[in-house]
Amino acid sequence: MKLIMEKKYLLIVVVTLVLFPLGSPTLFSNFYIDLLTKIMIFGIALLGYDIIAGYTGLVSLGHAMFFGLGGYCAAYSMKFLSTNLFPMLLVAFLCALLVGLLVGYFSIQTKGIFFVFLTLAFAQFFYLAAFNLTTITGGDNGITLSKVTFGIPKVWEVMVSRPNGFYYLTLGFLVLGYLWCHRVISSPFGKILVAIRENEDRVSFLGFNVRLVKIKAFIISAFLGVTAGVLFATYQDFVSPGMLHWTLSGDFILMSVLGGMGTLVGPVLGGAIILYVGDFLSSLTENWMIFIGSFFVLTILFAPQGVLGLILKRRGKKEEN
Amino acid sequence: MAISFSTILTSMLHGLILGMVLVIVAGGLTIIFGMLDVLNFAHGSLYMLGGYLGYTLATATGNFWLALVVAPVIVGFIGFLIEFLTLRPLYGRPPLHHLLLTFGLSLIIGNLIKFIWGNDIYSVSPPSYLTGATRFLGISYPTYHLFVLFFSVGVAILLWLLITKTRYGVAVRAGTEDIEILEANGIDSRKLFTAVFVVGTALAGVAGAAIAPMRTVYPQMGIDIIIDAFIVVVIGGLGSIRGAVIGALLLGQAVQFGAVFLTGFSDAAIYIVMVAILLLKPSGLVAEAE
Amino acid sequence: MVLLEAHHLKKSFGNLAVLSDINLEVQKGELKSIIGPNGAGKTTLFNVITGRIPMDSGQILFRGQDVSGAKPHVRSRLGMARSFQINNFFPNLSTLENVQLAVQSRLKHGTSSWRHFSKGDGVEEKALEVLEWTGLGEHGHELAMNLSYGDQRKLEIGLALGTDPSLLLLDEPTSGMSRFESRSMIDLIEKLSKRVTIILIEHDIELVMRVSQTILVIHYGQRIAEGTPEEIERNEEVQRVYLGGL
Repeated sequence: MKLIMEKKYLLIVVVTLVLFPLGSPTLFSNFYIDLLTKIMIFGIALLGYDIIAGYTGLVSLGHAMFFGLGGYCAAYSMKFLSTNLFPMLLVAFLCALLVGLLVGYFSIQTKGIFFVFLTLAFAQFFYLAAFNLTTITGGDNGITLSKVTFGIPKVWEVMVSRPNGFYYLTLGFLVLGYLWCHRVISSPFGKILVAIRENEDRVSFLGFNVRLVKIKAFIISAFLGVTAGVLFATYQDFVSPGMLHWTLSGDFILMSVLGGMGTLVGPVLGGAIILYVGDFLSSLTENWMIFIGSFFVLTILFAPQGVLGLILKRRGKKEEN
Repeated sequence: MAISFSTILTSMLHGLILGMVLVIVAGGLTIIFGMLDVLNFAHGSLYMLGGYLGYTLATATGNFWLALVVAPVIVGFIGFLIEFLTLRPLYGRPPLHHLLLTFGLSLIIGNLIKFIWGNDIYSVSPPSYLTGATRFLGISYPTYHLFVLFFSVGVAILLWLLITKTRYGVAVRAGTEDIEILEANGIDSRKLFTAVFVVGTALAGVAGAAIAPMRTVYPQMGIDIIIDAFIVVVIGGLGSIRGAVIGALLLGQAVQFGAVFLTGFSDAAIYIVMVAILLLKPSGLVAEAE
Repeated sequence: MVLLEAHHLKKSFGNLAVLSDINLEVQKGELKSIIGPNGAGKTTLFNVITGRIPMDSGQILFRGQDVSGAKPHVRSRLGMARSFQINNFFPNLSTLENVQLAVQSRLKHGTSSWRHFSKGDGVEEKALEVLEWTGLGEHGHELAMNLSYGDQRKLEIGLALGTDPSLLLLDEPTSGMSRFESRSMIDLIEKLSKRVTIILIEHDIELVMRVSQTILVIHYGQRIAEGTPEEIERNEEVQRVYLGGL
């Protein structure tokens, strides 16, 4: 089942997103721009997660590791380099490469449950490091960031405004991220990923170095994860160990499965649903997670392909008729 | 810091109790995984449920022992509902779905508990004759803690007897190897699955109820214990009960001594051990018996 | 020219010696069949040759190169391909997509995450060619899991063929097939034997006698006999152990 969204729907969504802020504060408050920004930041992380979990079938419980890593890279870069976004991203990408290689090399040797545990263990290791090494990381108090800037120093550099500046910055990265992921997924490499998910054993007998392919996919997901982390930390002006905690990895899984894994759009949609509904519900009751959890359980039971899977199935049926 | 015999003994006892409680929790997790191939993420929240139920029952009836017996029964019943309504329909599916399902359930149960009991921390008082401290071997150790130790050992022995001496236990052990053996011997595997899940979750519940007076009952209980339990199960060897026991006891000691002698990073050491085991000997410390 | 050499292959699982000092030599263009009772070690031999499981001792030379410790994908790249006794394809992909993966592995940008294939690369063409060759030309767009069993066995071979191998190892291609289905498989193998060197594991003696240049008989991980079909047919020990009077 081809689950890549048709271009025209995506174009409509992007155009809507671009025009959206024009409606505020007259039509609706800035609150929605803030929410959308957060949704888009998570969306970037979720795109990365879909590559490794949805397409390659390697469900990890350690994606928060990259998210948090990006955040801390942003904080240190701001402290020691500058407030400019680009050096931050460079540092983050470098870290993503190193950590992705290191963790990936070891984790990729395992499968299934073991992979879940191993990625969890590595991620928790980073969490504990951030939590306990208070002199370097500020421990549970985290690190405060100053306002991030965008542009080329001495030529044109501005402080990223809120909320619109960040909104468009994030939108830009989300679009770029999606375009890159789409390119990867429809490339020869992407086909190998799906093959690994379907029948890893046979893939090596066709002549592909499965280990290398998996590590590469892991690193790609790392790049997207740290990007999201950088954006989140600079948006909140704050980074804390919470960005590394395994429950955040759990949130990523929740969002991905709900939206529909292996579709790129699905997980982003899942993130949007959970963040929006969660925000709405949390104003009603403190225990809104019960609904999200129930929704999730129902999805697993009756619609394991996720929301997007349901939509596409219904469209497929309509086409048949 | 003076490292005297009493310090060591106290630390060891701490670690032993931690370990024994983990034995109960991880033991339940292990038989569920061994039999059903399901990694019950909800195990931590069921442990928590046992604790909160124990608190409510003990405070309402004034009878601690009643609470200790009834709480696991209720938790076991919830386990039955879970297995029957949500796990059974999923038995054909890839194991990932089970993991995700129990993960979702852990969220539901955890938040349901917060909904019913609120965000507060509750302390539970054990019967008066178990309060205070006992003197032996030159140290003064909280009496209730010792009770937890003996109680856990008792439960563990009970479980061991169940597994090794009864027909059902043999079936469970056979089942962890090969489901078809059971069917061939005329045992309804579906009923056995349910029974194992109920027993496993009840074990989590009783651990939570028993430890309540020691550690208080608080909303993070479930999350805190589940990772430790997972680590134990992995280190011991997925599905190996003996391994889970050894793993739990080791972990108990490691956490305790780590907390006392290493500062800060003791938690991380556990993860390092788990990583090492997963990479070098994924079958766990104790290779699965014949 | 000797394409594959195996010397003193030994493999034990625990106390059970599955391969005891097996030696093998395959000439280019040859079709060598390996026969023997169940559990004789035939599939294990394939597994060791293709690198699926490590051997305890011995040496394997493929096209003159020592591949004794090489990983499966390395051996595949050198030109070794294999089909499996139990279907081992990609059930949720179409037949065409299955073979395209195999074809892709031989192309320069076969693992690229940036550069896509262009029409000029001819991935689809080559894959279709393989499908035609194996008699699956009509079923390109069907999901592999929806194919008939006989067609699935052909896809098994097609998948291996797609990698353009110089040595093809076929593990019981007619396993589970009816006599009718086996017929077209036999024709396919005969056709293949003119194009590529083949090592064939089979239980269908009629097929083996018909297509093989040489036959190797294995029992309890050891060579019982080796020779032309006529020699094997007359071999008394083979008859006793396996053929049961032909």
